Amino acid sequence: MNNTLIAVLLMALVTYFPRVLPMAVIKNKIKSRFITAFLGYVPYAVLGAMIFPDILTSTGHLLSALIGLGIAVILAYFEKSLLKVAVCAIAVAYICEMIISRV
Amino acid sequence: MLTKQEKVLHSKHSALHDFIDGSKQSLPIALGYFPVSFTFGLMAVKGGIPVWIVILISMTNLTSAGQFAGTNLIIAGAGLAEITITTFVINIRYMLMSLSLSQKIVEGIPGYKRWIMSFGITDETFTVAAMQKKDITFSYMTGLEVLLYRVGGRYCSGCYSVYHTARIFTKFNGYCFICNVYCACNPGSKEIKSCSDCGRLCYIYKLSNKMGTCLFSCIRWMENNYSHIYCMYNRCKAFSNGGYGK
Repeated sequence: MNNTLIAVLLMALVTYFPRVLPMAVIKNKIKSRFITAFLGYVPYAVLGAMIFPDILTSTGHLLSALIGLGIAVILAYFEKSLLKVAVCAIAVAYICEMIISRV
Repeated sequence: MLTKQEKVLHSKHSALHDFIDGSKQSLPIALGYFPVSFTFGLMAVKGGIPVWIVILISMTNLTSAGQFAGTNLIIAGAGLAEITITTFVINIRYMLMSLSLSQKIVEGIPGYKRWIMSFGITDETFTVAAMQKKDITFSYMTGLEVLLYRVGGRYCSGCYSVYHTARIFTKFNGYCFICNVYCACNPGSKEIKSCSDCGRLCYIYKLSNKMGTCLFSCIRWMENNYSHIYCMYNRCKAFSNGGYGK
């Protein structure tokens, strides 16, 4: 029990520190163009890494995942809101999954 | 030129506006966190970790992947060093995100606010914040984080805690039932003064009854569809990030 508590506290520390360190240490804007450009691309790299292999394998079948992805891409292309895109894509993927697993 | 008073008023207004803005944008993310919180609670409680520790983990470790990995290791009985290093390696990515975000926040935010707002940087909040066109203020970031913290960390931190709520409801049912019987037997009693009180109690009784059974069936359903919910979470996560078109 005690051990578990210590483990939880260590986990908390180790989760918090990577987040707070850069934020607390770097208070001024970075001037170097190279680093700024690098940091500017971080969101896209993170997004790509988070979405891409996962989106195709997160459902039971590849087909339903592809259909859901298609819906999400189409809605996002027409600049619908985040909520609309997410809900529609999930609903469509879910329905497809149900249909595929029944057939 | 604005006078000093007007300036303060103005900044207060825009802070509130930013907060609401952030809260609005956190809604879809909260939607995605909901199933994963349940999944996490189920997994941890099934693994034999006490409920209050599960809640503690959810409240102090605001990260899904690290949380899952760390809890799995705790259940497996791994050593402290192993748990710490694994969680750290999983969480190193936040360093990059925090670094990237530190360039995007407005200048002149005091240190303690930085410590507070960096607590809630997750994959999702980072992406949404990074896609903002304007610079990020403290109020915006907290608006983005608060709801998530409540959803992800507290309210569903264990399915088991919901289970407890359901039990409290059923207990409450019992009390209400006794009150009802009492009312029925002694219509003019002083304890429950008027008829409207009685009606209100009946109503609460019915409502709590319904909610109790609803929660129980909900939990049973979740236990049966554990893998399903996890799939749904993955889908939510992938789509809610991918769909952020603007």
